Amino acid sequence: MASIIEIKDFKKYFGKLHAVDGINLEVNKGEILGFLGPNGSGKSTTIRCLMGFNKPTDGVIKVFGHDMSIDSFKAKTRIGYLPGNVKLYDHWTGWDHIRFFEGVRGKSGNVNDLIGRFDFDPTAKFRHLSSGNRQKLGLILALMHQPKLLVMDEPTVGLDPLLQNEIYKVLQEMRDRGTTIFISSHNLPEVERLCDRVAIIKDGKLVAVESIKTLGDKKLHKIEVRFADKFNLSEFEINGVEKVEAVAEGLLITVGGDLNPVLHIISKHQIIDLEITHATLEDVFMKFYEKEVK
Amino acid sequence: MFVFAIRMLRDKWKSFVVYTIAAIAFLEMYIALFPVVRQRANQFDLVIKTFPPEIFKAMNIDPSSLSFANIESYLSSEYMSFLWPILAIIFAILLANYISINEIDKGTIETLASLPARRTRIFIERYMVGLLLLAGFCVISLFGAIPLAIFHNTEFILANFMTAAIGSFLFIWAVYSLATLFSVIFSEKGKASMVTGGVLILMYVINIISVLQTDLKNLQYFSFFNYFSGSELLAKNVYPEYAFLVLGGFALIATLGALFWFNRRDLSV
Repeated sequence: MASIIEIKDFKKYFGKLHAVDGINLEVNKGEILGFLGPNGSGKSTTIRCLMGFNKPTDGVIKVFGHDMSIDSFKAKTRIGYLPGNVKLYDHWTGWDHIRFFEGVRGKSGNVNDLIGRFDFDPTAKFRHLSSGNRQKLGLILALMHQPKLLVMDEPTVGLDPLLQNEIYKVLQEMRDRGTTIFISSHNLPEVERLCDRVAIIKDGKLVAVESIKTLGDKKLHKIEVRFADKFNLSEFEINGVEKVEAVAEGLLITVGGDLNPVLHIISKHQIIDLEITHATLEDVFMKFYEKEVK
Repeated sequence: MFVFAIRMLRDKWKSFVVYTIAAIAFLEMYIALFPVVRQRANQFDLVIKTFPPEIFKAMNIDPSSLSFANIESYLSSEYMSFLWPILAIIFAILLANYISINEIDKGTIETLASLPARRTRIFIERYMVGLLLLAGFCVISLFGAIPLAIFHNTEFILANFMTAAIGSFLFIWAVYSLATLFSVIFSEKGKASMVTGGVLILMYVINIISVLQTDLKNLQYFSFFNYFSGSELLAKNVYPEYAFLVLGGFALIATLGALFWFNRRDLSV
């Protein structure tokens, strides 16, 4: 399968700070890759170099075969970009932005469809828009020329669930049309829903590049359970359980992978309350780190 | 075609109008007062002669051409020596900042840089619009004196205004190029403007010191103000060729340096 994005030995240093320290990654045509990492891990730095905004200290980033530190403008004809916190021109209206983009990229055939779909008012000035509407305008600008590669930096942060769902639908439709999507996110359910593969970056290094299925197997859940009867902490220390902690009248159990064996043991007891939550992305990172340390 | 240039014109025409109207308003004030001043020109000239010539040199005014007997000398001392350079320098820094640093400062540069356009194209289109607006400012803020002089029944010499417009444009082109260079080097608008302003103040001080202290005379060659004198340009209709070469040469080199740096630098910081 053809690689749309090729990142080879990419490093970006800011003085003594090694923001990204030698990563290699390929993204294939039609794939949705989730780029995960905590704040300060090097996600945004990678995306900025991927888009050609910044120059790598070392290594090469190619998109559609173009070296993004030399001739990024050729690749950008086929890239749509949505930054996390959309910053546009305060005194321009939505139409001003759309026409400016059309002036550079050429006339778009689907602007009106996108405006209708996102229920966006393009006559308002950017400074008067809510954060959700700003994100809508950013999306329209990113999608209006029907890009072959979409690069998104936390696209749904701060959006209401309705708009989030609309964005997910749009992305899934784009994937069905063969668009490659590179999406950075903190939101694990979002990544699970959308992505085929994930790359996890921490402290400027890739700690894992996994298919979403493999990540799902490693996914952690936290089960907080309160019992009405007597229980023994050790009966929960079975295969797949990462940690068992005693809390008031119950246990906090961290489970990796399949939940069923633990739920089976819990079901043998009288339960007052039960809560199952996804572990945070940070917990998943820690799991990867523990593996690295071992 | 020229999308970035057209957009800059749309964004900056109001500033252009404000600065040129301000210049015209000052011109009108000075020219309206000129008939009264000219009536007492002899007395003013006598008062002027009582001042030490170094004071005028420090103000970048040639005392030998200082006279209120004609509109050119009068405007060269009242308008060209201080007010016009201040207005033009502020406008030049404002335009230079538009090229990239405003956007780096506000974070909108990512949107701009995500478009399929070479950095060179963005830089040149915006730089040329800035230069065009500055040229327009020079023409209107100097030739604007002519209809006002006609309106107030004051005689004028057109050739002097022509020389003043050319000399002023070269001076402000050099300032604009310096401001552009600093605006692409730094990532904060305040810092870039402050450094440009600081360098210009330093040049002004150097020019004064070189005039007042003969052993430091050669320092004058490092100051733009040595090559820009309202009294030489407007009052005497003199513009030495070397000034043309120095300011024009500096402007070209600084512009090429700014373009080189803009192409190399990290835009998103």
